[in-house]
Amino acid sequence: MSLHVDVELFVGTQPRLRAIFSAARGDVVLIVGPNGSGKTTLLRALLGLVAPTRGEVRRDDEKWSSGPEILVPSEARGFGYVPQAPTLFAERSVGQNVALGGVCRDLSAKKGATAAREYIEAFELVALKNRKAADLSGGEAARTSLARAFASCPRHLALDEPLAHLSEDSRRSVVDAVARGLGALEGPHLIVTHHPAWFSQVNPRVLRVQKHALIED
Amino acid sequence: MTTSPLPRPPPRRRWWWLPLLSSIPGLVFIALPIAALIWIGLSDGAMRALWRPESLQAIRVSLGVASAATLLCSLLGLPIAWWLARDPPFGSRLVRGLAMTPLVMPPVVAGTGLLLTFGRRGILGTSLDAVGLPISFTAVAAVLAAAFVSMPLIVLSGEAAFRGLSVAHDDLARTLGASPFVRLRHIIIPQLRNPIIASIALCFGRALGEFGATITFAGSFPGRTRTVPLAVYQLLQHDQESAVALSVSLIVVSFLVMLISGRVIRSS
Repeated sequence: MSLHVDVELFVGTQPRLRAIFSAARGDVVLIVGPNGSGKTTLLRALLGLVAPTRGEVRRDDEKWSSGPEILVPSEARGFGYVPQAPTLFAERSVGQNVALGGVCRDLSAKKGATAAREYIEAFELVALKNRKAADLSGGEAARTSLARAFASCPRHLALDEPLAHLSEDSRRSVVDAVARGLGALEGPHLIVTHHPAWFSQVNPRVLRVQKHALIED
Repeated sequence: MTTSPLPRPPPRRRWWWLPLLSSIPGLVFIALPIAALIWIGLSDGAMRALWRPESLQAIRVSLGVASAATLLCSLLGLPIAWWLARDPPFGSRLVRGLAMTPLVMPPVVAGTGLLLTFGRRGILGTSLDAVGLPISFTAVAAVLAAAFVSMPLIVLSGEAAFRGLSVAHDDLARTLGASPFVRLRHIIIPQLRNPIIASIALCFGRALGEFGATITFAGSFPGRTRTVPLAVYQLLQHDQESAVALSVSLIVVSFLVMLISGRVIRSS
């Protein structure tokens, strides 16, 4: 299973991003680059939330988008997405937010509950399980958002600066949990970050945005 | 990463009493008439008057008319609210203005408009009459009158409810694999539930109090169109005690609606 990307994107209104890369099963691709260079937009294009201006995205022989036309909708691409802002449901508990992953993927109740429990433990949220998401700190919310993406049992993960809100020591344990979690999934996976060094233990490939183009390091 | 809530520092505002003090006249202005109604309304004579068949009949008509009007408003108004909340590229200002007009229009004028439309000689009334569906001065007319004046409330508050829907959350659910049906059930309806209940309660409250459009378009026929406000007005001329008793019953019903909708909202 591999992902082939050859697209051109409008970022905001003017500067464009040209991205050409392929990623194979098991790959972890880090996308690095200056602010406003289109990293998040690229991720959203792979997720099917925005349409590229030109080019195509496909997984093996399945064309996901062709030019500005989206052929496979977001819900059918098999991603677990962790957006830059945690985007939790403020009135629901941590446990309910994490379980939403399985609900969205339409997993069986049993499988969903098992996955939710597993990642609530992996991201050290057991003590916070019944707390309302509105009452979480930034770091706790980030871990809940990660647990939710993993608990949806995706094929690929798309993480947008997942460690940005974490303190240094909790960052280490979160990277451990992410590395273990990624190992259990098919991949390829994509991570947008400003700190490639933080992810060294997942043996990533680093792609860098330079002068509106995505280049392999 | 500590999570225990810090104790809040005590507010130290110098003029803390000023907002309170300046609110008192307004509160008294609202409270006095309500207190007077309840004071007289709870007297023995008034309580007896409430159990007379005419009074109970008016309450029954009011509840029926307001419920039907609320249902009609929800069916007609929520689609408009939904459409407005999606920022349509054209016509939204015109439509919003139109939908708000009954709010600023005198109810008697609204009733006249309904009469000109659905009345015996009205635009639609003649054809409705021809097929044996006369509307004016029937219970249906009372429902239409109450619905007409309540529509703006459900459109306004409904639009706010639909605007409260978060695109980011919907997008996130999609990326996690949620089909449109799953999103409707687990993402969209839970977000809409409370604000929609609140706007329906608001609409019901307005429909319950409708007077001017009803008396113009539906008349005041006991058992059919004589709602509590109409009965109160009629009774005031010769039987003040009964009028007050009925008024209090209306306050109680409005209060119960608020209480129940608040409960439903909290229980979610």
